[in-house]
Amino acid sequence: MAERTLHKTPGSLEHYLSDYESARQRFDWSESRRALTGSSDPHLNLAHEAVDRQVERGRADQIAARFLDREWRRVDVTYGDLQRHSNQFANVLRSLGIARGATIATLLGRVPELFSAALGAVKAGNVFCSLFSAFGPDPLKTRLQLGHVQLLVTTENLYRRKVAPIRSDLPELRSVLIVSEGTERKLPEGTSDFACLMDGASDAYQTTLTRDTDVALLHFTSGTTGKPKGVTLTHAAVIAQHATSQLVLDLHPGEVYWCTADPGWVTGIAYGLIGPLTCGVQLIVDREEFDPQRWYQILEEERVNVWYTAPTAIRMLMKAGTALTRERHYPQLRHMASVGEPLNGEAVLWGVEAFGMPFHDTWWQTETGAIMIANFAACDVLPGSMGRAVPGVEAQVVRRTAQGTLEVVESPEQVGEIALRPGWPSMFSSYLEDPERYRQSFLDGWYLAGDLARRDNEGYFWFVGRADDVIKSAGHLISPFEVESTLMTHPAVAQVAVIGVPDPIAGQAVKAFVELRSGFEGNDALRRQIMGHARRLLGAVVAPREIVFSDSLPRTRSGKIMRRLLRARELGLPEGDLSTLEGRE
Amino acid sequence: MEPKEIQTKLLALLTGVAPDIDPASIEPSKNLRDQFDFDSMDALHFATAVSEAFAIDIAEADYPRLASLEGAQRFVEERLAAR
Repeated sequence: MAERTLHKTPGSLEHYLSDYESARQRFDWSESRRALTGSSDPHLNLAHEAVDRQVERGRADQIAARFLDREWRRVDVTYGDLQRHSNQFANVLRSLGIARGATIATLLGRVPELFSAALGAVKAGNVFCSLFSAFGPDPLKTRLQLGHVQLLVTTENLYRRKVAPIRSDLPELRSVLIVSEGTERKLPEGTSDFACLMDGASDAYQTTLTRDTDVALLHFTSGTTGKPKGVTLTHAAVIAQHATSQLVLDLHPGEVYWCTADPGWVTGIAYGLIGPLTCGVQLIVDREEFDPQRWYQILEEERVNVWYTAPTAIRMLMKAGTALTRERHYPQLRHMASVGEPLNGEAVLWGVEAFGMPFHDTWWQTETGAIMIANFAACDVLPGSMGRAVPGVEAQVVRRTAQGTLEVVESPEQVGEIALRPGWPSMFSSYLEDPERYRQSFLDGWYLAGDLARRDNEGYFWFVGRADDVIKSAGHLISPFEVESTLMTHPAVAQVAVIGVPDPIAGQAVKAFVELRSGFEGNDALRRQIMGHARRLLGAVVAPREIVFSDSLPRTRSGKIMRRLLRARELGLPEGDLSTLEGRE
Repeated sequence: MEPKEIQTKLLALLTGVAPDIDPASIEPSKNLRDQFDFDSMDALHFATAVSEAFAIDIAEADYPRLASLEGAQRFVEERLAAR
């Protein structure tokens, strides 16, 4: 691959990481903590660092975030505004009798109120959880229950469509606050007006004293089986989110930065809110969905310096063509990075063609709380590679031995599982209500990421695949089990298996194989009916894009459907060991 | 092709991509994303389906014109008339 290496030449800008080796050697997490807080105070609050610390440093009047709506109206929020609004929200929580430590959730689009609620909840010592607004009622119910959410901030529209139908199943949900979109008829029963409560609350609040090990954030991610995983991150996560915002995203104070991830996912919080604010940048937040012309207009008119986006979006832009890119100019743009799923080498190189610079792939997970492996702004890029371990992070390719231990794969180019040595500050502190699963994520002193990769002799990692059945579609991690469970609620469905199939744009697409109950005929009308059922309950991003009927799904002797075999057939791969397969075929 | 026929075909394509949409509930002038749970992958699949069904090329830059049912109707009519 060496001939494809994209070499970097030193520019005029001082990068936070210019020499990889020496940065690794010098790096020390306790030093990062001191640099972030400016003190050795044993207390640490993630939201306080993102907002109040910035105000202390003279950024009260600087724009923290600019929100854009469909009509290109701009709403600017300064660091001072963020401080006042988050204080008001913290006071609202206290006035409603919400105790410290309780979980507060939002189900919102990309609006300023989400920022106030997130930062206010964390400052008040509560746990904040942002739920993806495109989820349907089924995934929402599971997550609100598992998270023991006591207060939810949402809109009237989302509440009526997605929460009201499941409210009776949520006895712990004490309060629902409605953010106005200006179109409401009247407040739904059992809810209160967000703005009204905020107006009545003081904008002064002394941040609750929290410690590094206290839980600050709850993010849900998908596993292969069972319920979604409730991943908790502590206040210490801000140390790693800050350090990587500098080392990887190279964010300098006052720069304009656009992270296109939705706050319903961990990237949208870690790098769409917390990390960048601790660097004193101006965030761009677009309330609209993906649209190539709109995105180019934002990059140009908002004078974006650093852009963090996702492979699916990049591939859609590629499809739209470079001619469209060149209709505008981006002299301020200086660094582009990508996250969410592996970025193919062609997409990296397309960045050079279209913008004169490559996209820098980064790798991390909800569980890692911050970027762990990356291509750096000042370092050479190997297109198609995930990059190298971030300073302060020890990453290896490992294999499980027959004795149940781990061995590090020392020789390059050998495939194994990505393992990380615990010790970085943003490592997850638990899976909610599942200590066993948490325990199983570690072996022999390593955290096992569940992603397969190989490493070349220069230390660059190359993604190979998932070690499990989890589907990655358009940057969303989707549990086949969750999709199967909802499909099973349709009266025509007897059995179902869900897998990810390759998709040129989304990376993977969700495909369902359905066995029908007797008396049902597998025709197009029924296929649409089942797909509609799944979309209503799961939401469009999670529901299958394709449903096929099958007479007999491959099962093991114990009756478990073999997704691996379905996937192998779908991709024309060798089917492997079939000794446990029931002979139905 | 008659406008009515185009509309029927568009509705079939739309509900093929997003079968949760009740055709009777569509407000033709309103953005589909504002009315339904219709994401960018849906929009892409809809555009591809329209392109195939009517045998017309649709540039990515024209995708926003398919954002509403009425917009899609006008777009297809124009393209068919230009042939």
